[in-house]
Amino acid sequence: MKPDDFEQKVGRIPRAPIPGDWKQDILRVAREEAAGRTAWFGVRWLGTALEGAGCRRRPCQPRVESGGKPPQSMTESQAIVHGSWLDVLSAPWVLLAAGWMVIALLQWGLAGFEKREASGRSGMAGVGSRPSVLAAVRLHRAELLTLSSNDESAPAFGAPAQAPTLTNPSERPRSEALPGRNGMNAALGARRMWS
Amino acid sequence: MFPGVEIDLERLYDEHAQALHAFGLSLTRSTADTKDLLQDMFVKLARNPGLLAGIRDQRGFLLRLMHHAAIDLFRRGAVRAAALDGAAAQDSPMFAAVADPDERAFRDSVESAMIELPAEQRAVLHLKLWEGRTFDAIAELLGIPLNTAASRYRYGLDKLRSRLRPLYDELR
Repeated sequence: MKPDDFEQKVGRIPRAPIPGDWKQDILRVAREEAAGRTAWFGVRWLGTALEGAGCRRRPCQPRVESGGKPPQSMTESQAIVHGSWLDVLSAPWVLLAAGWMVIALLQWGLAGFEKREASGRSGMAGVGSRPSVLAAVRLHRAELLTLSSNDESAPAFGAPAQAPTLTNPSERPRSEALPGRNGMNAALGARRMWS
Repeated sequence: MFPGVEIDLERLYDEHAQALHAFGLSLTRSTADTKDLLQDMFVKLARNPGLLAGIRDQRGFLLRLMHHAAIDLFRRGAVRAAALDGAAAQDSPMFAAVADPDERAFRDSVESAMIELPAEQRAVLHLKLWEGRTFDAIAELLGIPLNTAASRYRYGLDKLRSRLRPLYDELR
């Protein structure tokens, strides 16, 4: 179906041009997104901080550019060579932190291994599924505890023996007497004392 | 940081931004919304440089992205879109300015008539008249059946015709 005159005339109307300043804005934002600007700022901040730590560890020296002079835009104090990252990594607090992290990781790994052992699975993939001795002992102990707690007639494992409950009120000790009677007894006792 | 992506973005902008701008204006009838849509689209492309990999018809793909983004925008701001539908709240011209008063009057009339059309008919008319797409391509681009695309075009064009007939006959 060929377009008629009307369609052709309408279709030939040129559309409004895109504003010229959009290109710069749109591409700038898109590029910033592409570069992951936020993440990059974080990494750069960390790098600067580490370099600063390196500078504190080793006195900074004037930056020597290819021409042998510091850049004109920098003052003498700004024109510095930062300490290398190796200096930072060899600092005692960094080594301590790294050691602590290694220990924490080992503990975490051992805990996971022990948990797997206790659940009856081997710590090594594909090597049988028989529970280890440690796991068997734990399982046995858990079963004993379960049995003892289910048996109401027997005292719980490790629990102290309980005294029998007194059901007859006349056999109830004085300390457990009703408050009213307790008060009456006290009043009678006082009367006896004064009479 | 990613020089290849930067070059691609600039090329994409130079090649397709004008068409996307026109389509966006047809859909949203708002310069600000169109710029937002275009910005979002280029951010998406920048984040996923491989999005256009293997796409033969890049213009069609980008127009489809623009259409989806416009639909999302309508859903987010349904109230504002409804308000825009009711009134001729066109905040920017759809067509290029022209000195000839007769031609300007015709363009203004076409623009007014376009604004009165439902958004889906406007989208099909735009893709057919200004992008020169076939009904097959329009149907695929908008995600509608072929017959629906054709009927939307016919209904939209009939409305334009009836609205502009006196002026058009006079101009001829």
